[in-house]
Amino acid sequence: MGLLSPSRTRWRESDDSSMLVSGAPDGPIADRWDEHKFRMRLVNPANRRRYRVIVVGAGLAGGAAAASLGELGYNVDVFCYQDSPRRAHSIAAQGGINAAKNYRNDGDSVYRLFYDTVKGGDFRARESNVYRLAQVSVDIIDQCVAQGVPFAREYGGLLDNRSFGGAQVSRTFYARGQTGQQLLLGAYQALQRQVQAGTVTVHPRHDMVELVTIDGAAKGIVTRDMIDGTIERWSADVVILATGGYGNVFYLSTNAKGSNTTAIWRAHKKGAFFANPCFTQIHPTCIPVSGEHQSKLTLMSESLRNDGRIWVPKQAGDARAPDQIPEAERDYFLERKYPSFGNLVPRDVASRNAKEVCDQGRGVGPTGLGVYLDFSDAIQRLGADRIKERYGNLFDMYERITAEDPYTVPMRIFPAIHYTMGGLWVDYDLQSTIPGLFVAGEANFSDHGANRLGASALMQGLADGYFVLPSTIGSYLATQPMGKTPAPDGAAFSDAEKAVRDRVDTLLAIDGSRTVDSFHRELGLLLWDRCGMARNEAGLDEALERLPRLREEFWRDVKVPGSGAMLNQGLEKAQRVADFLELGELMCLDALHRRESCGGHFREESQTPDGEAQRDDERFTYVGAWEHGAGPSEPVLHKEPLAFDYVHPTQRSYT
Amino acid sequence: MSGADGQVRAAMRLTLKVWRQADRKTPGRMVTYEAPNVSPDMSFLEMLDVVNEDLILGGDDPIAFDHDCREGICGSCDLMVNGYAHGPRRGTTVCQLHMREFADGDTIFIEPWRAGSFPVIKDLVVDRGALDRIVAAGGFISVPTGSPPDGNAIPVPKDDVDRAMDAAACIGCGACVAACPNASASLFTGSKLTHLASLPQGQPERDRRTMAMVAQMDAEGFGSCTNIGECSAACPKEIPMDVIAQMNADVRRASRRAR
Amino acid sequence: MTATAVRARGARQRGLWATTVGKKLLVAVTGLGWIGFVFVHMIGNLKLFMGPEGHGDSRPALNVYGEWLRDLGTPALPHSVLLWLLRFGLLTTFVVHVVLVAALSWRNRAARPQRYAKTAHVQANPASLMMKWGGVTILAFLLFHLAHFTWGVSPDIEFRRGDPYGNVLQAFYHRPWMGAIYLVAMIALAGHIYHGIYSTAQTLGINRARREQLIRRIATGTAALILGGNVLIIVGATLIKNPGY
Repeated sequence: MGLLSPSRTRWRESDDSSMLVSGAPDGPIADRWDEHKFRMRLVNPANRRRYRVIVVGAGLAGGAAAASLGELGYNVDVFCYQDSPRRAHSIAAQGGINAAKNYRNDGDSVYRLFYDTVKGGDFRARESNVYRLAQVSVDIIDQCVAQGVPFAREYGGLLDNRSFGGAQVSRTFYARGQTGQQLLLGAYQALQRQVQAGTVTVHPRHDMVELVTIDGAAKGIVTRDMIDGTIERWSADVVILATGGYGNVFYLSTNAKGSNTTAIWRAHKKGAFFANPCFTQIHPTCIPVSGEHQSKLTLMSESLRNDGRIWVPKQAGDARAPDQIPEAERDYFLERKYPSFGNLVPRDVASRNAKEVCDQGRGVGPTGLGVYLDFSDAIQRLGADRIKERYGNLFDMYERITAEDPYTVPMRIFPAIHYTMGGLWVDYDLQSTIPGLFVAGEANFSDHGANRLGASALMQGLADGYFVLPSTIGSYLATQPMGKTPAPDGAAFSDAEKAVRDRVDTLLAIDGSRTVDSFHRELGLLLWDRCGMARNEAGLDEALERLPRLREEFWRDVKVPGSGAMLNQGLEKAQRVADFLELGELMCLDALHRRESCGGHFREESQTPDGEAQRDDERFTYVGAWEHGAGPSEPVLHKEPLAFDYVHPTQRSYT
Repeated sequence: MSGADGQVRAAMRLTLKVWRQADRKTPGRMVTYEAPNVSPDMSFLEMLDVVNEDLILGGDDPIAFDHDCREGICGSCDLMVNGYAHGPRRGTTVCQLHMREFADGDTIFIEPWRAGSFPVIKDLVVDRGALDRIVAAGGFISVPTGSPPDGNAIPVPKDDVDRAMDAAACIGCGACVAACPNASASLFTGSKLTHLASLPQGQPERDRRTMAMVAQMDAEGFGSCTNIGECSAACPKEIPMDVIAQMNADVRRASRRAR
Repeated sequence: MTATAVRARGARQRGLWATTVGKKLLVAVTGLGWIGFVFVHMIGNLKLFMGPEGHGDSRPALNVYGEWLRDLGTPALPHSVLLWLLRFGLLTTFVVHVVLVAALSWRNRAARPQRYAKTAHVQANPASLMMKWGGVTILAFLLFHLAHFTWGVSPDIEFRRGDPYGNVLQAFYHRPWMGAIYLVAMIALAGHIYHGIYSTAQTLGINRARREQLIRRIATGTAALILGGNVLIIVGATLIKNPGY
């Protein structure tokens, strides 16, 4: 069997392209969003309160959407699994948010941000969406400033910017190292204002466990009250999912422990297509795993690579302490391989190379899964004070977690899963293939293609929430009968609720011998090895053999403690892991089918002679959107072809 | 377990005294558990994860506790450890507290936040909805989406924005309430008020916001501030006491201007 | 939101005094008033050291001062009227202070119905933690002190109205246990004043991080001054023999 020979049997391909109509308007790209907004249908302000909107997830996208829709006058119910919408994981974003303000007069523009995002996404995103994102980025900053987000400022009182993630212009706005927190609190406060005004009701500690469709359209959800286990039905005229990414499928990631795929996976199983699930992003500068007990990974700002030098011993198995290894026996592998970019190569390149040296047995630290990030040269050159000024809080954080002092011992870093570009397929209106089901933020696949640029996640979440959904939801609702929200008592609702109850009862009844976490860890390790930083045919095939067995074992041998009618964190986890087990398989399948490397998806069979990701534009310039098949292993692939009328595909090169 | 230097860090044996409570209504009690094999490299919550894995396999109900990001920013985790909110290390949430802070043989008391306004839901999980309601009462700037002027239209002195940011660093964990001998939420409320009052954008609603948030704080049944300072010492973001002074000053200002 | 949600509407209309902050403001202001009184009282009593013929006539300076107090406001007002007004003012402030503190303390107790099994303190100084019990100590002492020297109902001294100098020396001379009682009270008072001043700066909204140290110093200085002065009086009264007895 040749390396690129098709193993088609694992999935079916649809010839019907009518399912995936992006709805992106034609015409000059700069006018498309305005043109589209003008053509939208509107709902009379007096009638808006007669429509019910469900928003699941209260991070940047969900919180912003719910607040904005509440302001417009719709009746909004917000659900989140946290005890308060203020805790959504958007809060953990550190670096900043991009916007094409060109406050620096350094040649930035909406078009340049658009261009950079399409190129950074390795030409796997929809141009119309990306352009709109760049366009509204400007309004996001204004909105947030007016809300009181304390962005960094200069002594003149104007907003400060920095260059982020290798961008050639300074377009990143930031609030110390807590930009995500401050933006989220802005959205949260706007949301609480609507709570007080009575337009929004927040339901914290509610897990969405099922989507309800009536005649093919999304009309409600089923939730589990995490305090007492009550299964509840909620109906609406439109449902928005803004539930974040699925990085926790890897068990260890920089996501919050509760981050999960259940909402979008349930929707997928009800008919929403899942696009590009294999597009996952790795962040190179995380603190390595310290042992079996490790529950999550902590990210440190990429800025560390500005002054730190990355190296490993030249000799495999060299167990000497770092200061015992002479200069001549160290391999500064990024500087060696990429002389012009050195340690500042993009995230995926840095990550892959770290994995490569560890695979060669040259990794450092107790687990061998780590590389040194050494500041001794920088300290010698600039002095410890200067380094402390730049990275003091990061060094403190590192020291707190590892008990090692990075001023004297080189830091150890290792890549970690950090963002997922894939998600539910949506059209230009952010509507999924299920009418009335809209998907926003990291949960959709839309704007980042195969790779997301630094400081763009916050931008996309807020763009979707503040500026896209409030228009497109109205346009959809205008087609729906007013004041006719279905009561949550029809067959669709009772069937959905029954499915939930059955699933809960089944999980509780298994009473096997393995904990949920042990399955989750095993799933994570398997995916990390076979569908992580680098993927190949054989590895993916193997994973696809093992995953169904693991899933079968889970449903046979998992031990979920307690009952359904109580606060039961084990049950919550079990439901999530059950969905991760299915999603993991789809990811591997997507990775297997996409026999090219692009962005965060690196197929070892498809690389340039110097080890760069090699796209195959001829065959793969499309969005791979998966329809859920009869069983978890029988999905159907649909393709949305991508056209690049403005930014012409080029090959990345960093050597 | 060994560190980068190759030194073996011995596992510790700890005794845990943990508050167990089945639900809101059932009275709770302290229950003793042994944790025989704790790595100093574990975080405090990872230590509880391991204890819970054993409880589950032994057929017992695992200890419920709130947690999410495990990197000290979401504000979910909320354990009282040996009488200290978030444990004995200053400026640290309990998710970022590591077991090397403890010694082999230690007995550790783990309790939920205690306040009438934070009813216990189960074990170590409490309801902090009161804090959300304080924010809903007025902790915002009313700015409908799409209406604002350019971000640079109003210059803000750097010192003002720095003070706003210091106060806005609050993660809403409730440690201030838990640590306060009076269970007062003044540091929480003061930090949101100070954040918004330090910025020009926050001025138009300043008086209304101050009175509404303070009234809601009182209505929730939190204690009053007696300026002891435990809140600020327990705050994982080390928010200074002067945000309470700012709140007090703004209450006076608001009532003066209302006349 | 939970079923226990409480809505506080119209707080702005009910105004300042409805809030805990407003109540604390009154506690702070009344407390400040009493710090002023305690200071003046101390200055007055330090005249003890001017001896039995302080102002050159045959009367002790302390007694002259006492007479002057009763003469305040004369001849515009009848004898003692202003003094009584001042006393009434002091009493009112005192009652406001104590009643509000009692109400707030009640509230603070209720705010934590279930105590911790284990408690620890990081920041709190004893003065701040003892505020309530220090206050109760001071209240008890105040009654004792008034009985002793104002109402003259104390059984163990032969009280002479209009002769505070004599009364004081009679009460303290060679009676160190009496001095000890006063000393304990004065220490409680100093702690109360120290945290009271710091608290007042907070409650009035004067404190900022950059002023924290300054305010702490002012609080320490004031408390030390009053403690020092009063201890001097107690020691003096214990050692000075009253020639009149």
